Amino acid sequence: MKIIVRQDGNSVSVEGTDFALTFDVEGVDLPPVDPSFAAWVLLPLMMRRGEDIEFTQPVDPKVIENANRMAGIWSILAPEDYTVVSVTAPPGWVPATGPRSDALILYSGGIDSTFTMTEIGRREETGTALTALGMDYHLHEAAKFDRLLAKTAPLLDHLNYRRVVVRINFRKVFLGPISNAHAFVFASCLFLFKPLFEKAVMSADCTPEHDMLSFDSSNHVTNRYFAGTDFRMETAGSSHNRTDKVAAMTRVPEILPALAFCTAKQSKPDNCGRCSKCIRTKAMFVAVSGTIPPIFEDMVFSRRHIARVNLALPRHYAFFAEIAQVARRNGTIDLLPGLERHLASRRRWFGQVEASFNRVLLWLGTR
Amino acid sequence: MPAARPATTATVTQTGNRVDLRFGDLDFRFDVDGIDLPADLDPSFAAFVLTPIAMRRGVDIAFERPVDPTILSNCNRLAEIWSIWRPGRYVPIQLSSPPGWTRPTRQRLPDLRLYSGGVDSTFPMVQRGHRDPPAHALTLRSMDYKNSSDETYRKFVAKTEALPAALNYRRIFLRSNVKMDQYDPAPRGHADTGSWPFHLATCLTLFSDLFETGILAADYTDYEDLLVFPSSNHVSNGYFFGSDFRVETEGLRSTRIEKIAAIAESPAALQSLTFCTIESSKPENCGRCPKCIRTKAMFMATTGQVPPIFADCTISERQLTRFNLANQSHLAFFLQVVRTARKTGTLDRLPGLEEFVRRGGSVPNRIRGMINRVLVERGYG
Repeated sequence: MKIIVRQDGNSVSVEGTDFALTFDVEGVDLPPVDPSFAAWVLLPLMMRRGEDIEFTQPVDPKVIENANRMAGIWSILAPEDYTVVSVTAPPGWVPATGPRSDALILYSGGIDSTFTMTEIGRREETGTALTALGMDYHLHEAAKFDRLLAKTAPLLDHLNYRRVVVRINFRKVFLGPISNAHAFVFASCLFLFKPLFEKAVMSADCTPEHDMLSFDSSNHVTNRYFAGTDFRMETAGSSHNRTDKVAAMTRVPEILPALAFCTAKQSKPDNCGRCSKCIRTKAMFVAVSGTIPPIFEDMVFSRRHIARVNLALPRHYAFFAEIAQVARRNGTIDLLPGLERHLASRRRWFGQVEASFNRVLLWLGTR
Repeated sequence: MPAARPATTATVTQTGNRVDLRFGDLDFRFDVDGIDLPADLDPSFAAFVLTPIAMRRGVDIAFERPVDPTILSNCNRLAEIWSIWRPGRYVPIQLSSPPGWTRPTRQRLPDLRLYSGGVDSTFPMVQRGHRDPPAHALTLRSMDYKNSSDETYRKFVAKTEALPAALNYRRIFLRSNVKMDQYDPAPRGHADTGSWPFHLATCLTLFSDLFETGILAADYTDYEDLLVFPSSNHVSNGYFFGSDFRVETEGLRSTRIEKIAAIAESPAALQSLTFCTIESSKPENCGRCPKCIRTKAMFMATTGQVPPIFADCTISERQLTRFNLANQSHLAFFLQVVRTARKTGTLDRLPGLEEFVRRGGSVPNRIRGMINRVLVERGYG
């Protein structure tokens, strides 16, 4: 499919024959953009359709090379969702010229991106943080998104960042599983600002150990291919697990009021304290500090909450096993009543499952 | 505080090129041929092989002699990781040793690489090319040939001589009685115990007094590791290092079919290539087992022909469409075969394969795939 990138001031669209992906920028004046940014966001869309991407404008050859590599890899990693496509563009691309700032950081208010910002610390020269509307917050949740911006503004001031916002309609155009696409969208949002920055930083959701248990579009293996000749997206924080990140936050109390990680629609951007993500984060706070900071609507945390956690999913088990390891080291395991027992019972269950289901799994060919 | 676990003492002794490792009721023996081991061998090598055994038994490991603290720390971390990855099988354990580990100052050679004659270990040797000064390749008798007769093993050694000779490698042989599938048995019918990479790391680290780096070959690319989750993977293997010795995993960015393409260019590599798992055929390649058929398909896709290294060099639709594509590893291999064959124009020499892969295998396989996805989503996979 032929692709054209158009720009009208701070509004950029990526147009195919029957769709237009839009990127509306606030907070900075966007210079003429390099169409190369569009390669990433087009990949999940076109791999799902099984149609080749044919840019009508010159694109960074390194981006083309890496996009083709990504298409090959993701057609293997998710063959039920994606097929291999080729990405081409006419020659004549020229690299960025003129001075650029050092890095643009993707910031959502969640644990991972907040950790990355605090690891960098207060900027001497004003930094830039990018927050996207249209992914975690749907476009119709603009009022909640504005509350998120207000909630997180004091932290950005404290760390000396200005904010840039991008509104994207990707989720209206792409109907596949977003977990296999979100990193591509964020990479495009970041590459959009290449004329202004030398590189971009996205925070890792998981450690490589967690990626092995279950991976999504942002992972330590494929993120490295979000790179062009004169711009690349780095993934920060992958050597720290989520509990490590929470521990770092307890050491800088002014961060805590800006944390917004809850996915419950009725509470966003506040943290409900009742959903599985909030319960897990409460457990992490208890493990690292022995207390739960007053950042949840519901502060109650009891044996009942722990017992309700579904440890059957390997990724959930991994989070709570790490919480228990940290709590044992910190002497806070008694403040997480029932966790050791819940984990032990699940270990036995995993053992039984492995034994009982092995014949089934063998027949399935997955063993 | 968690309840204290019992600790089992690990003792390493040495007589010339024979090294003994005692761990509770287990007696392991390592016999080296092809190079002289120094008399004061570093016992740290034993930590890797003992870790999965102790994780399985739920006992801590207490070394009698000082062990490299970096290796101890990495094994403790590996125990944490694997107990989370396989909670039904492994428990986290602690390794300890008396302080005071040092390595006597001596000049060491740059690298020692594992060489089995298979595709994965042949590829990085071919890629690296001729070595000058001579390099060293280590061949084990405790893995693929542990149950084979001496005669079969002798034939294997002779067959795999051409490539090391052509590329200027001196061979070292290591025979051990370590059988990981006994101490860390796989679930019923499961071929992969999960702990053999630990054994490989131990075999390489045994030579840490003589070499600075050990090299083992990756089975899969790093992205295929995410999909297949093999026990030898780039995440876990990344912890196989000590203060002054490192086990590197080579070939993580090359797919099996890219490896085949490189090997096809080297007559010595083809002559030495041996990967068939059928005992009666070893060290020759039968051409009829799944591994041989898969490899024939890869040769055909990359070069348009099957080299005469198989007892049966034919390729038929019946052979190609018998694979279970619900198996992620098979699906990944064959997707790559079809893609490569399309590029090289050899698809018509792989009868029925494109349609078979497009359909995701046979109908029973597709049903298996669906059930598997449901099971995996519910945490049973």
